[in-house]
Amino acid sequence: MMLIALMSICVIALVVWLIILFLSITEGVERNWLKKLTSLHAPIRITPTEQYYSSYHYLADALSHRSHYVPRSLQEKVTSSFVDPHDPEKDESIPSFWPKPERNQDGTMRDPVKIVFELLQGLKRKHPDLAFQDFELSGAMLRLQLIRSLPKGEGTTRSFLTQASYLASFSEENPYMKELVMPSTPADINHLMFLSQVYQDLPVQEDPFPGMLKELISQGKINKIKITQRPWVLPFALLPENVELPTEAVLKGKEISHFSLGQNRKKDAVIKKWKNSLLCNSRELTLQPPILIEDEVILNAELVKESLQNARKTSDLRLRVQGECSGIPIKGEIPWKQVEVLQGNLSVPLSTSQGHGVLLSKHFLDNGVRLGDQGFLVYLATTAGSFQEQRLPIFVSGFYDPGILTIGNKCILAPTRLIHMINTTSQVEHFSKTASTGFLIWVKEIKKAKQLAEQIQLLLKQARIDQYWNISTYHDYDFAKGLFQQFQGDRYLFTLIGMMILLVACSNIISLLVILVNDKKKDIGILQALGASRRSIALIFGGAGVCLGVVGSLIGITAAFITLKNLPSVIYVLSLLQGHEVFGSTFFETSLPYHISIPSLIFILTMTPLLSLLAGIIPAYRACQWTPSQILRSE
Amino acid sequence: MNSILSAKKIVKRYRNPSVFTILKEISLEVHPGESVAIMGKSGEGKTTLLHILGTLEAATEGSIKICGINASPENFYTLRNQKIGFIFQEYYLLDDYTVVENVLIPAKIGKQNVKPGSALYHRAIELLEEVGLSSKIDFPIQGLSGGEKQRVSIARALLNDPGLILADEPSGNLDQGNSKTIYNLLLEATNKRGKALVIVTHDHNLSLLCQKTYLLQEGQLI
Repeated sequence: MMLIALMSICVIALVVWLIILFLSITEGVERNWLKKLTSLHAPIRITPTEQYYSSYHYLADALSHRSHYVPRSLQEKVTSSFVDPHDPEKDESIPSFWPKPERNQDGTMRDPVKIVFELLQGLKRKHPDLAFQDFELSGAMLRLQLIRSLPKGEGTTRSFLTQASYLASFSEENPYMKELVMPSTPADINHLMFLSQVYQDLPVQEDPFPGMLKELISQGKINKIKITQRPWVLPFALLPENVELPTEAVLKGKEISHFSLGQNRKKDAVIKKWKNSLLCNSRELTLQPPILIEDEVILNAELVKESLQNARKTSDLRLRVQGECSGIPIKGEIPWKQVEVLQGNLSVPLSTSQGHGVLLSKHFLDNGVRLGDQGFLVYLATTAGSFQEQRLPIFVSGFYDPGILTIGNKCILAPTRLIHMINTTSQVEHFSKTASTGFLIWVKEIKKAKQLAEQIQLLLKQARIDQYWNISTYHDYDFAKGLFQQFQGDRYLFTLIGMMILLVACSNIISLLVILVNDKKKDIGILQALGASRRSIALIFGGAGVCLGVVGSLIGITAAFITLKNLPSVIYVLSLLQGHEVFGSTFFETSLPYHISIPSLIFILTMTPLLSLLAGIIPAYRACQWTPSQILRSE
Repeated sequence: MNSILSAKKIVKRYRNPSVFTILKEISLEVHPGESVAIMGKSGEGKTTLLHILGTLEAATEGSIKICGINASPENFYTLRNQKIGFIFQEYYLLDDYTVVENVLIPAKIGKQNVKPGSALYHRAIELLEEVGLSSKIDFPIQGLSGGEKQRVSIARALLNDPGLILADEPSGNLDQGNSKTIYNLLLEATNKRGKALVIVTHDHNLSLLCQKTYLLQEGQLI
């Protein structure tokens, strides 16, 4: 009996564990994707309506010299000192069929862009966690030149990567941007240095050490380096003064050709630096033979910033190093030559004085694109007589995580002015006008997005500019709608399956209690003879069912919590058993996200006792059908 | 004097498959302090009558009044718990409980305080002392002899101080010596407390110890 009860508890615990685990991971993944989606695309968007594009406010730019006869971006409108760009004296007259501008009671013109910006600023004062920024979308052909080194220093290769891409403006105000951008690695710094070396060797390069790379490197922080040259000729300046160092003196004829230091080297000579001279076995050497370090050399290092300013080639850069090599404590400066960065990072700015930086999706990183790679954004611009291919030089300033959106790997984040430049000169429209620009609004609590959107809508209505703006929340984004529906569908489906499995697990209680009732038939009769009512007998067995369910649930919940807390280890073990990664990093990243699903806990904690009670009622009903006389006679 | 048990025109019919009347309009009155023995051959319906009198089974016809309360299915449980004490041939003790726990079961069912130190707990100990089991209070039931088990069941029957004690062959499974002891104990305990006692037995000698003896024959009490 005990064994069957234990088995029932185990089965329920297992099912509960499985349900909580699955629902928590599903919710974790969904939240993670949602966070990425709303971090990048913001949970609320305000975009201009068709009516805005046919309003005087938009059309007037095309006829006005003050706006250079091109539609101004939202940012330009917000920051411009004038509301009406049109100057009747200098500009062509406004066609009579154009809509009239909206005016205030005092006759001044109303600017829907400025008003919406002021409204958002007012909201920001009320909600300090709110952030907003204008955005612009466009499209162009990305062409990157990938210069890579061949193994064993056999030169370099060049290849080109071309891809039609969407361009989205980089939002400096986005408080979550930092979380999306992939952190730089020491490999990035090494690649920058490699590129610098390649460019400085180009004969046509005016500035042998490109300013842009110089600027990028200046943003870096180097902590640890490795000398790639083996053996390394130790600069004499690094040798500590007046310290005796046992070395091997390698002879060429009768003369010492060099000193060699290393684990496998003999220690047959003692050298010492003394007042800028080298002493060997206390004898001053007239010629200073080189000291070669044969062991691997890893040193703490720091870039000497002053050396960067005047550097014309990478070897002009200097590193301040400190550390120990082959037992020698060294300290001083060395040139950046045969050096590999082991520890360090870069915080690359999007724009440098030398060019525009762009952030590519992390898929590019997987495809071999590296930070610092340079190229162009190519698009067709309208000229007086024809279309002309325009090239805007760019460089890769980082990578971001676009989540799992299908357009994610084609979306490039670039400075707003770059995108506006393309939009105002390009002939091709990549997006509908109503979607290609607007304001993005970020809030800390994503779930409050809808409520805030309604509030903004009301404010726009009160300001009488609601006809020019369309407000949408992340639920309405076309590119994410399908995904959310899929998530919801999956969750409902698994909840249903979970309920079925739970039902089967709880039905196990029925068999257990039927056996228990038969086993305890005599006791039931005795208790009834002594005055126990049918209801109290039924309660005993119903209660036993509930107890089994509750105990099973609690064990399952505890096990699920422990599993979730140790998820990386569990996945590691599963991956070892399977022989490959269990969860692909494309969808689940480096670690599987989870979020303890409160609805699933409520579901488990209500459904399991309920189903167990129902399962207990059947045998309990059976136990109550017998009269005490029947039971006692049969016994 | 008011009777403790008043059964009027009790009829019991079975359909198995044809209709068979086992008890035919039996009437019985038992007063406080009175002991009644019901004898009869096997299959005459002695146990059925006792079960009907103890509300363990419903009669087909007739009425029963226990301690002045009309017995009906609605109050069967309360009557069994508060007004009737049962002693069975097979003892019917709960094997998973100790001696004192078994004695306390009727009080537990009645949701009374049975914790050590409570009045009922003390009463259970007193009853066990009275039946000579004070040294085996915490013994498991399986470790007791047949006679000892029946003493436990006598103590259990008396715990809630019921007016009516019903005993079905209380010495059926005991040797002659033990039988007499149990009978004496039962009669003494009930007489002393002024309880009405109804015993169903085969044993003629033991029935003589009761104040009244009836014979159940062809469905009627003679």
